[in-house]
Amino acid sequence: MLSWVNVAIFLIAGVVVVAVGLGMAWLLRPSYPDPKKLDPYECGEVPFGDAQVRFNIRYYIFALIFVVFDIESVFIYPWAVLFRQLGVFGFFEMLVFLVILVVGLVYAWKKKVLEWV
Amino acid sequence: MMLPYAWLIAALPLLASLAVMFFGRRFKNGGDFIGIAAIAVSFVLSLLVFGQLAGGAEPYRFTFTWLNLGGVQVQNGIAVDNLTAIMLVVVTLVSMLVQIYSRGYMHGDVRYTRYYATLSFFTFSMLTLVLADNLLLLYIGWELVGLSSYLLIGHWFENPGPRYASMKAFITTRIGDVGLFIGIIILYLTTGAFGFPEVAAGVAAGKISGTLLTIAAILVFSGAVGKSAQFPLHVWLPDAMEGPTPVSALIHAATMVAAGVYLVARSYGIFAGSPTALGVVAWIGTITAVIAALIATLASDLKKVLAYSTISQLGYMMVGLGVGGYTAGVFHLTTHAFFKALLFLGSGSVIHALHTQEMHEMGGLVKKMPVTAWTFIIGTAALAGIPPFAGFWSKDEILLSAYHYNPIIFGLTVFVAFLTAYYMTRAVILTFFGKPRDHHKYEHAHESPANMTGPLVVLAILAVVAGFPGSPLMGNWFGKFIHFGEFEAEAAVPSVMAMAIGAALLGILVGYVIYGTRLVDRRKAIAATKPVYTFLKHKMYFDELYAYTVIGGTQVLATIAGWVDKNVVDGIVNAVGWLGAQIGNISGWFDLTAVDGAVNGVAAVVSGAGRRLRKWQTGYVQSYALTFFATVIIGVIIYELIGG
Amino acid sequence: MDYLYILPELIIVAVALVLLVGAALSPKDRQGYMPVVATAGFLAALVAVYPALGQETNIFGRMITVDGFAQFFKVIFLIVGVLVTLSSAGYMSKQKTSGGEYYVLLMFAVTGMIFMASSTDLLAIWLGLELVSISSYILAGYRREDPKSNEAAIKYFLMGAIASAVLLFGLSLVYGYTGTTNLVDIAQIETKALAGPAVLGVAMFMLVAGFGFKVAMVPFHMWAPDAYEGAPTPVTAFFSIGPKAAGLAAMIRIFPVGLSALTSKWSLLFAIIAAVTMTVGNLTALSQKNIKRMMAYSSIAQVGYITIGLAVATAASVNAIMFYIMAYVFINAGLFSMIILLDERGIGQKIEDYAGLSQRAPVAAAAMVVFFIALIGIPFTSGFFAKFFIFAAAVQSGFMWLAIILAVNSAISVGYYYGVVKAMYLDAPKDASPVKVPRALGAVLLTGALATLALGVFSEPFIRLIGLASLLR
Repeated sequence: MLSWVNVAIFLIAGVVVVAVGLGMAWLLRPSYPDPKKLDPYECGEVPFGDAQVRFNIRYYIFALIFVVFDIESVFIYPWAVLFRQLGVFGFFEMLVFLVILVVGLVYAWKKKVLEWV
Repeated sequence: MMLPYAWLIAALPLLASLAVMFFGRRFKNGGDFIGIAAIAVSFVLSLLVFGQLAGGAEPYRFTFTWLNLGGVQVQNGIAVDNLTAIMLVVVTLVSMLVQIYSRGYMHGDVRYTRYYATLSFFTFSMLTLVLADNLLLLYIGWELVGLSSYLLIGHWFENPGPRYASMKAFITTRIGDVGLFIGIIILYLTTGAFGFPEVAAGVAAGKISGTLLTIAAILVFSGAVGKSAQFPLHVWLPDAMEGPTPVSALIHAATMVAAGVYLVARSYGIFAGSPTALGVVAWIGTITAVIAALIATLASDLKKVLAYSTISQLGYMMVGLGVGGYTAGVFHLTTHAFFKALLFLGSGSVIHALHTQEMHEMGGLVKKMPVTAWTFIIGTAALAGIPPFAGFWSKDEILLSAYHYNPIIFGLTVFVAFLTAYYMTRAVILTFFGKPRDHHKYEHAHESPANMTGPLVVLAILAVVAGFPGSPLMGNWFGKFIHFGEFEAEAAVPSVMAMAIGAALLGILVGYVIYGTRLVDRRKAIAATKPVYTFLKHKMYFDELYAYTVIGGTQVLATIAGWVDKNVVDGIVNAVGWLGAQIGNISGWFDLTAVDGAVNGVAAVVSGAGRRLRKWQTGYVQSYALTFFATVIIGVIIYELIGG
Repeated sequence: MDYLYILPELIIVAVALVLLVGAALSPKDRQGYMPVVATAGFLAALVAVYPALGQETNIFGRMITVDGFAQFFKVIFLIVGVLVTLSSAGYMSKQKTSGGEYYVLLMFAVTGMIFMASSTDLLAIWLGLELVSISSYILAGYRREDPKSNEAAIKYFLMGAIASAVLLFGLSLVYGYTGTTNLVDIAQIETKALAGPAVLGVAMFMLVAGFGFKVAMVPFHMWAPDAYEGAPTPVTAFFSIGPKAAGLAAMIRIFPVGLSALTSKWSLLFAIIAAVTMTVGNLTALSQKNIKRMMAYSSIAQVGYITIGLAVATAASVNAIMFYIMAYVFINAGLFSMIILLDERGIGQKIEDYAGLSQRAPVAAAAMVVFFIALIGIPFTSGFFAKFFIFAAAVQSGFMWLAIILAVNSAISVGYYYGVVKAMYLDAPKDASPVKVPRALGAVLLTGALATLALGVFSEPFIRLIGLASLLR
């Protein structure tokens, strides 16, 4: 049971700290609103239209393919650093990995995912 | 030595079943002769086996390791002892006669070949059940006979009646089977074996505690309750009469329904360890016997009379086993198989000729169908317990055992003996005597062909002589052949025998007075003027009035008052009849409302719960997620509070 | 060489990649070779299991283990692959969507299943599970033009993601407390050290919920009927056997083996889940009119029976689970081959559409009766022994009440299985034209029926096999 008391104390303490911090700031801070200050971006384009629009589904597919290459670079960089120690076997292992990625790319390409129609 | 080849007895019908199923259609007669030939050979083999055991041969047992579950071995095998030998002869003989009979009865049926294939399959299953040396194989045979019974009841599945009846039979018996299965498992887990001798030895060695043994024995008995149509699971058997009549004779009178009795007899070593369980067997048997006999006195459908009679007689056998009359119960099983098969086949012959099962459309058939009628009467005499017919000897032994056990059970069984004689007399008179009530049907009636009357004659002879081996006339040979523990001849008690005969004769007398003499009145009425005829016709339909007494009780009372005014003796007779009808009605109502109601109620609860649960499945993924999280969170909280 | 031990998996993945390229390069109407190649791939993988049989070792830094248990499930899953591929070929060739990716996804899912059963590391198990799940989400929505299929996929995906998250949270708690993800190491931690903290209890509950979702235990089952009904029928067939068996295999590795120190904690939990799962599954199945939905609830009930084995957690009960899964794979593959056929021919998915099937396809109807009899648990079929072993294991370990609930439930189940049999045999067909069974489906049907009967009559060699492959001694 003791561990649960600890958790409870921790939870309460966490809530209290945040509440006290925000509450104090709200009480103490001066407040002089003006239109410029209330802009979403103080130094940039004036936003137009609704922010909650539907994005074209193709963005997601592009994002997915990007993730694939992202992971590729994450893997290849440490591999390249240790290339000499890993030897021939390491070389072929990475080759297999790349082949799998290429198969994916070929598939995506052939399915016309890379074209923006 | 014949005994090691006993497995052939069961194997031949199986081969025949497969042969008929696959090749039957290529032959002219749908391959029926394959089934008949196979069962004939099986019958001869059974006789040889029986002869050898009767000649003093040692019982034979063959086992092999069926399953090897990491050290635990499950044995399987067959055993042939005296009890098995008797059952083999009974099953093969009745099956053979029924198959011969069916050539006439089922002639021209749309599924003739299938019928024969299933019949052979049933015979195989029943013989497997009988030959099994362990509970597991017996259970397999048990389920297979249930399956064949289901298929055969639903043989004419185009009609809703057989369809519903087959389903009801299958499901009702399975309720008992669940209990049987649990019982088998309990016995296996405590004694470590499935084989009957091993289980019995384990029980005798006290490997299973008293209470658990009683529970196990009652669970095993619950299987018998389902299969042998004992109260409260008896509701399926009358409906099962929707099947072809030869099937009723073979399965629902002589063999399968007796499997429950056989099961209790076979596992008697288990029951012997628990007087409580035996008491349950005896009382269930008694209640069944009384209720079914009362209902039988009111049934107007010839087959239903026989069906209730079968239930009642199976109750009798259970009484025999329950009160410690092991030999008596098995003996009654044997004789009953013959004369009840005879009665069913006889009723089949009538139905074949008249195309009706209603006794009110029959009458006077003794002239048109002498063979059927007289063999039927012999069967009736045997069932009613008239000496020296078979039923007398076996029933007498049961009564004797009950006499030594408990006076209430004894009294009720004597009462059932009276009722049995009464309703069978009624059935005989309504069917075969008096004037024909449906002239059109009567004109077209004719005696059945030889392949139907032949089996009737054979069974009639057996109904006369089958009782002698168990009678003092032959020195209680049956008792010496089949007994539990040490054989001891029970001294006949003359008063018991006298009461048995007295009850039977009184039943016949009452039946004759009510139905026989009333029919004389009717003959006069037809000759006399019209108003008198109408008045007598009103009398003639007294049966229907009985049936309506629950609705219009006062009306009946008035009628009876009129009767008493007119003729005191007739009035008393009718009062007796009315009382019987009332009791019969009440138990019939109880049967319909309470027992059927309970069965329907369970079904309603189950399907209602199903509907309720289905609503839970809303189709909204949000509510699924909510359920998922709620379960996890509530589960964790409960878990930490209780188990953590 | 570690790679030699995962040769079957490598073969499947290689074939799947080839098919993926094939699916991209060849036009839709020229893809008839795909099921053939997929079947050949599965069969080659089956052959490749042989060299590793009987060996016991750990590979890939003890992530993957090579033992009898893994080999047993590897063979089962490859057989599932073959059976499902064979029964899909006809159905898929008639779909608008090209069939190529279907076989690829199927092969990926089977690979994931194999890793689930052969990993002794929580992370590797989770990866296998995700591979199965993600492939399954796409498979469920494979009929893109059918709104029901889309609905199935979305529901399965959303709920699956939630379950995966909960499961991963649970796994992380286990790791956080024990400091390892390796089940063998976890199993060696002393009971006292493990049983103390409440955190582990929470983790355990999350694991049960996560895996319970994947194998559709009540109350984590709610996605299953919708996903089963909406998914293309061959996919439903696959769902009802493949991922379930894999989930159960992983649960055996995690609970009775890895967390055996906590048996007293999860045993009762599984017992309650088992009782509720069977009862809810069977009762709800009673009122179903769509056969796919009915089979969904039926498979929930079957999982309930199997869960008894988890609750009991003895050598006997774990062996019983393995036998049950082996039996169940053949029963359901066979049964679904007919459901697929009737769906493909446009005859329908309702139980009433099965009216008079005994006249239209007598052999197939008889085979279906065998499957239903086995599902009920009537002797001479594999289903009988499957239930019997579970039942016996429960009784031996004092779970009498569970055994009784099992018996009552199998009596209830007669109700809905019988409905289909009745329709097939007793009801008159609306259209009496015969239904011809294609060769591939016929092969699945026959294999299923023969295996069901063989396991029911000559079960001993298979029981011995399971004894060899057993995880618990």
